[in-house]
Amino acid sequence: MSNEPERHPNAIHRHRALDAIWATGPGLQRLAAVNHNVIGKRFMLTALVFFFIGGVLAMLIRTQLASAQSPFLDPGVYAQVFTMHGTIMMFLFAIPFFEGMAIYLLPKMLGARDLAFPRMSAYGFWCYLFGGGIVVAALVGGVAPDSGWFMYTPLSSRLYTPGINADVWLLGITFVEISAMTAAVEILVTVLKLRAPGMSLDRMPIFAWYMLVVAGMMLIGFPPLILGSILLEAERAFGLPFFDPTRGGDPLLWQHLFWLFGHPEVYIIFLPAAGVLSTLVPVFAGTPLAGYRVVVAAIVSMAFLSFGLWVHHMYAAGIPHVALSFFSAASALVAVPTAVQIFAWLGTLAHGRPRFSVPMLHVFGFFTVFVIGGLTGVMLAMVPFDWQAHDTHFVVAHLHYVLVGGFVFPMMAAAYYWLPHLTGRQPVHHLSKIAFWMVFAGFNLTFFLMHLTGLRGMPRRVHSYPADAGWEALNYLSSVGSFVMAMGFALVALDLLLIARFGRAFRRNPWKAGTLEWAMPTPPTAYGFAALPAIDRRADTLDPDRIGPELAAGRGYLGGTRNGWMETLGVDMATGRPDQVVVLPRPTHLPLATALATGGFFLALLFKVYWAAPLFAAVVLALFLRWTPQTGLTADLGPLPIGRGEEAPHHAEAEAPPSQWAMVFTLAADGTLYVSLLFGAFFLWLSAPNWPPEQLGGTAYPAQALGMLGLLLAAGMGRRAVRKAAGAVPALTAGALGYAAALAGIAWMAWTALPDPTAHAAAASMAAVLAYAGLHAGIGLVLALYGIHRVRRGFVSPRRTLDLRIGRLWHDYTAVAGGVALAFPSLLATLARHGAVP
Amino acid sequence: MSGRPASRPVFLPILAAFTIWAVGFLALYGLQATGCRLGWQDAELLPGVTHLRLALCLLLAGLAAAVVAVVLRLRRLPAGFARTVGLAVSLAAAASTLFSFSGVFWLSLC
Ligand code: HEM
Ligand SMILES: [Cu+2]
Repeated sequence: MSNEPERHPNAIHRHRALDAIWATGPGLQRLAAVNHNVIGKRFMLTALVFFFIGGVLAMLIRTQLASAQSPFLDPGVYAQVFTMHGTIMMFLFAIPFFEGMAIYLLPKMLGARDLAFPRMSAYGFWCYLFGGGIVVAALVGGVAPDSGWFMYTPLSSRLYTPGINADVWLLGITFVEISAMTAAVEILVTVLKLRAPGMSLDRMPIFAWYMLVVAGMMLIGFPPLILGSILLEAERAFGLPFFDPTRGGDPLLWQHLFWLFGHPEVYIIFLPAAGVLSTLVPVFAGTPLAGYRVVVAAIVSMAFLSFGLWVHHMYAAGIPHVALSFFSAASALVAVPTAVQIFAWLGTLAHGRPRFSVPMLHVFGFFTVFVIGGLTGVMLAMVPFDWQAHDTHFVVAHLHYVLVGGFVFPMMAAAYYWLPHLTGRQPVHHLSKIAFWMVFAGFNLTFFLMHLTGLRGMPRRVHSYPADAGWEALNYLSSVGSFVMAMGFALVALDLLLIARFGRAFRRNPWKAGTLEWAMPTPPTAYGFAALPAIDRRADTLDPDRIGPELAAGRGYLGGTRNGWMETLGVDMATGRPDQVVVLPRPTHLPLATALATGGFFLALLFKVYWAAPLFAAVVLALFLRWTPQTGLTADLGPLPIGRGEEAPHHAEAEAPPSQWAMVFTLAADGTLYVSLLFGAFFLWLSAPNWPPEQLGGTAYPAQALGMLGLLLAAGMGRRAVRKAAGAVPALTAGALGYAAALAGIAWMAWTALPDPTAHAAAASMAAVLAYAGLHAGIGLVLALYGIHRVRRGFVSPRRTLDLRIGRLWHDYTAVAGGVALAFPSLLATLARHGAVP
Repeated sequence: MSGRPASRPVFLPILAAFTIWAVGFLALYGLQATGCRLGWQDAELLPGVTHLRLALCLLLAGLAAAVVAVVLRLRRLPAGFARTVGLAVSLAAAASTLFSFSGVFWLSLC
């Protein structure tokens, strides 16, 4: 092993050397791909396949509704069709599509060679593919979910949905959400740590700011949904009555958990699209984005506000006035940052000299459609109006104006804009305009009319309507519109294919953009940049035509190769000073194998082969441990030259490497889930009927004390281990013993102080909280043992304590969360005893 | 956590005020629901002012004070990205705090 990079005499030689290191192999090696080019494209293509499936379902819906009493679909099938349409569009198309786009684009825009955790993105992709596959297989098998895309209980509970339809949704979507969580952590860490030197936060291209905020929102938004799905599945499978009002549960708990995710979700989908607009509009206006800082402030505000309005989907659920006022205020406020961005775009256009182009046509489509969607949204935000329009086709129309306007049009703009990057070919305008106008006209015809049917009272989610209601003509026209739109989409697809195949070739930077992704060969090489640039100004006002050749000639950072490592630079978050050389893992089949085992786990739950589920979980764990030998160092290297006369340590020796941040963010998501669980229990005490339960249970002081002492010991020893570094084995052993004691305490507690969890939601909540603590203590135990293993293998030294520091984060969190969990049953029992007033 | 980079914090100025708003949101919503459950709206302190309303108003006053404190603190930062963006976000948070929650003064509580 050598610290000195190998220099390359010329660009061709350099390309060969880098390509040999970074490229994905042929044949079966493709299944081992971890490169962001490959994974990003796979995400996007898969998402488009799901868009197609969701679109076909939409056509079935419109065919059914074209006439009043159509015998085409019976009510049961119709329910499956609209549920699956909504589910596929939201979970399997929109989110994965922008994830794929971010995976493909972010490293390139930031001046990095790949994302921070390439194997995790590959794992996320496979989880997405398999989870989506399960859901679609259920559709083909006629057992698809049918309780609407938000799966309200009790409709989705065992009593009303006895088949596996609802389980498919709960388990399949949770499986898919693994990919959302991995993408969120991946994007956060990449944007914060893996940038070109000199790219301080205020020099980041605006798209990176958008994705940073979106990833943060996903980190907080998805856990409540995942929690809700787990709880509902636990109710369906094991009878824990979280949502059953006869046993102290409350269907409203589901609605809270779902919309706590569901409304931010709308902004999670909109913001990446807005990021695309903020990138494209300045390029075509020929002037930098107006008010960069104001836009950053707007998206941060929007992210927060979007979490404060979930209850506006529950106006009809009878919630007191003040509480309603909180939510309607936030609903109105969130329009302000949206307006700020729209004015920034209009201002940019007004400042510059806009050029006409196909992407701009789609930007125009966005403006028109989205603004109408915003106006109807303001109408719905008025509480009295919402009571009127609630659950009618007015809502369906509004939602599509927002989603198609706010996502689909911008994504088509993005497709036309970046397709040259993906393929190296440029549009030739024959079909593009016709295709756009067909989509645009078809869309407005379809959905504008739905406002009218909605106002005339046509409810959503009905498969037929009375012929004398006067809705038929409008519905018929709406269906005609939807077929025009479908043909438009087909033309867009054909057009994109033709461009990819026969488009005009170009040398570099066809749109005269100022971002780094154009400073590389197109289509891109696996390593992207032959050398990393130094950034001295805002990274959307750069000159790719000048930078590109410089980098190809190896003038920049990391222009040589070293030990066959896949290297990119890590920087200080705020200033962009390089602070480490991040060495990325090589292609491997492990992500695929791990995702298959994860799929086994979910299928075991789905088909109720419960004994197999723990087995698969163990296999997943074992496989994840197999990921680790490739990472880390077994000797201290000291500073490595990185070019331009500078040096930086290997990430394993760095102070704040990406994996440490990944653990911080993972725990943030985990903590959100936990807090949602605790609040959920508190909510049940507050508002569910049939409280207090007959049996309270809740206290077993010796067990609680044992558990807490064990957790404290484990956390203390985790800290000590970091100080001892290579001599950490005794501390880690003591930590492992601490966890053993904690697990014993938790089990004892569950055994003695826990009433039958199927009898009442209080006991079920206690069981859930204790299970959470047990799971965390179990993982903590594994991490302590893993630490011992790493020390023994020589991966740890005073300079290299990363493994132990990651462990320490987990142990600290588990001590806090577990302590709360052990006290929780007593607390809930006390509350239940006292608050038994009304 | 070890290894916090020594550079000036950027995220704290940007996130502080709205984090207060978010925590306040949960606290007010939780307090209102708890108060209604425990019957604090029935005990009047002064004519028309119940325990619950008083508690909510005090909490809101505390939140508003905290957000204002953040704004004042940010004004002392040196000019630059963190200050500009931080101030803009914090002023938005201040406005949101007043606008979202002022219902506690006059709307029916339970
Ligand atoms: C391609 C053109 C599309 C057409 C013609 C279409 C049509 C429809 C119709 C008619 C409904 C109402 C079904 C009912 O309530 O009976 C519906 C529901 C829905 N659509 Fe679309 N849609 C399209 C695209 C999209 C897209 C792109 C998204 C999201 C990104 C989307 C998301 C939804 C959702 C979430 C629902 C609610 C499902 C439910 O009630 O559970 N749709 N769609
Ligand atoms: Cu909403």
